[in-house]
Formats: sequence, C-alpha cells, structure tokens
Amino acid sequence: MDCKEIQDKLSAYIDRELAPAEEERIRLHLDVCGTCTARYAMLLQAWQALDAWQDVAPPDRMRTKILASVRPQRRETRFRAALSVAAALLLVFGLAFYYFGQKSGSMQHLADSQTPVQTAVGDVSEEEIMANLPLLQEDDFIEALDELVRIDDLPLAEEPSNSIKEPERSSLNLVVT
Amino acid sequence: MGLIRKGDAKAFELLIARHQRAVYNLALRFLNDSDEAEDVAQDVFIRIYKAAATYTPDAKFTTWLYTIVRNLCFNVLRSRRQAVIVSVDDEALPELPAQNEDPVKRITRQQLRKKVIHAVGRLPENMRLAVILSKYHGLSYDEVAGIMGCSVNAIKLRVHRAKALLAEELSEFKGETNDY
Ligand SMILES: [Zn+2]
Repeated sequence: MDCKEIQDKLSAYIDRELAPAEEERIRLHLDVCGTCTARYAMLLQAWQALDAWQDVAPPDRMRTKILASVRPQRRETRFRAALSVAAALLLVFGLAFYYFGQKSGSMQHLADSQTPVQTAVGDVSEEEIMANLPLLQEDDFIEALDELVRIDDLPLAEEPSNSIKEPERSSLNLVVT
Repeated sequence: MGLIRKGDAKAFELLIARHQRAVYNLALRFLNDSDEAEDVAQDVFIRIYKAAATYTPDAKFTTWLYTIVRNLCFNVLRSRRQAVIVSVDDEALPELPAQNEDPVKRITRQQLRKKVIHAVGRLPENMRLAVILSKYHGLSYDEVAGIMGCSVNAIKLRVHRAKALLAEELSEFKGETNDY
C-alpha cells in the first residue's frame, strides 16, 4: 500500500472499521511514515474534537406530551369499554345467581383468579414492548376488563353473599371517574 | 428476558425512557434547533406507538427507530429548505458543565463546542447524518448504512470526507482537543 492508499483508509482506521490484517498494515506504515502520521493525527484530533458537543437531556415536558397525545382517545375508548364490560359483568353475574342460587365465596375466588400478575418491566426487550403496543390499542375491551378486575370493589358487590363485604354504591364510580 | 402483561401501558413509557435521549440528541445535532428536535422526537414516539402493529423485528430495533428519526428530520429540512443558514443554538447548553475547571480552559471548551456545532452544521446533510450516527451514537458503518439506506462503502466515503472537512474547519484548535 502506498501513502495515498493508506490515507484513504485512515478514517476507517480511526473508527476501527478495518479488518485486523489491514489495521495492522496501517499501524506498521504509520510507524515509519511521517506524512501519513501527521495526516492521521489531524483527522483523529478533529474527530475527537466533536466530543465537545455533548448530549443534552431532553426537556421533561417531552415525555408528558408524548403520553398525552397518545392517551386521550385511549382513555375515552377505555372508558366506554369499561362501561360495557361492567354492564356485561352485571348481567352475567345476575344470571349466574339466578340459576345457581347463592354459593358463598365462589365468586370471590373467581375474581381473585382473574387478578393479573404484575411482572417487572425492567429487562423487557424492545421486541416485546413493540409486540405489546398493538394490544394496547386494539384490546381495549380486554384491558378494560383487567382494569375492572384490578379494582377491589367490583359490581360483584351486588352479590347477596355473606362472604363478601357490604355492597358499595361507589363501586362503579371508581371506574367512571 | 422479562415478560410484560398484555397491553401494559408501562411498556410504552419504558420505551420512551430508554430512547428519548438518543432520539432527541440525534434530531438536535442534525437539525441544530431545540424546538424542531423536540417536535421530531415527540413525533417519533407517537408514530412508533401507532405503527407498532406493522413493526417486524427482522431489523435491530434501534435501526428502525433511527430510520424514523432520519425520515422526520429530512421532512423538517424539506419544509425549511428556503432558510439555509444554520445558526448556533445557544439554548442547548451542555449538561453538567465541569465545575472545577480552569476558566481559560472553559472558554476554549465553549469556543470549541461552538466551532464543532458550526463545522458539523456545514457538512452536507447526508454526510452530517452519517457523522452524527457514527460519532455520537457509536454505530458501525454497517448500521449507519442500514439507517440511511445506502451501501457501507458510501458511508465509509462520507465519513472519510467528513473527517477531512472537519479537520480543515477545526484545525486552529489543534493541540487543544486532547482535553475533551
Ligand atoms: Zn505514508
């Protein structure tokens, strides 16, 4: 390799983008050639000077704005979904009690078994997150169901069973507000 | 590998938390305008949220992410095509300025920073983006090529030429750059 060829590769050499053998050849040439070494030093210094332009922290409001522009319609659809889920639940449970009479405790158990398992999100991969986002948008009905189950005072409270605490009128309000 | 519950809203927040800094700084360095960078960064995440269903993980996630940033940045450039002058954005001061630094050195450092911003801003757009992705995001030529939709050789050439141009622009700071 002549000096011209070497100098054409100095940039890739600086960026460690060369094959080991090629890198070694350039290193050996730089050991003996003042012209190429001077050129190398100049390019390297300029490249290192770019470090003076440091990262800045994004404004705090950015995250809030992103979430806000993604959520409003979401909250609305979820609210509507939550209402219909609540109505469906009332109907289902009403019918269940009508047909099977009072079986104390069984419905409470059902509610417990539906409580979603909270999982740590710290080491979740981007692929997993991305796979989940469409669910976030499309499965509003299912999520609304989850939301309802997560709230302790379900419309289940309408159940006349002894094992369940006093019915609370405010139960649905929790979802509505 | 952790699992997240189906449709967990926290997942999206996690995605923002992980990548907003890189996305914002990429747009900021490329556009050299903090307002535009903020708009682009917001737009990137909103689009990701909406396009999630079409995402197929055959490419690295960051490649996909940076490609979106790149496209939106070029949209901004297109819309401001008339105003060519790139001004130094004084709003975006570096984070954590070195406290116990020699005042003379600090001035030089700030001068160098301005000089760097100016020099990078003068690079042609595609060269500038290649430089930013390679230098500030630590991406390989191969990854930069993937984001910019061109060959590795084209990236190699762009970064090579950019280094030469930057060396000329920044030559008066020769000998002072070792501190950074
Ligand atoms: Zn030589």
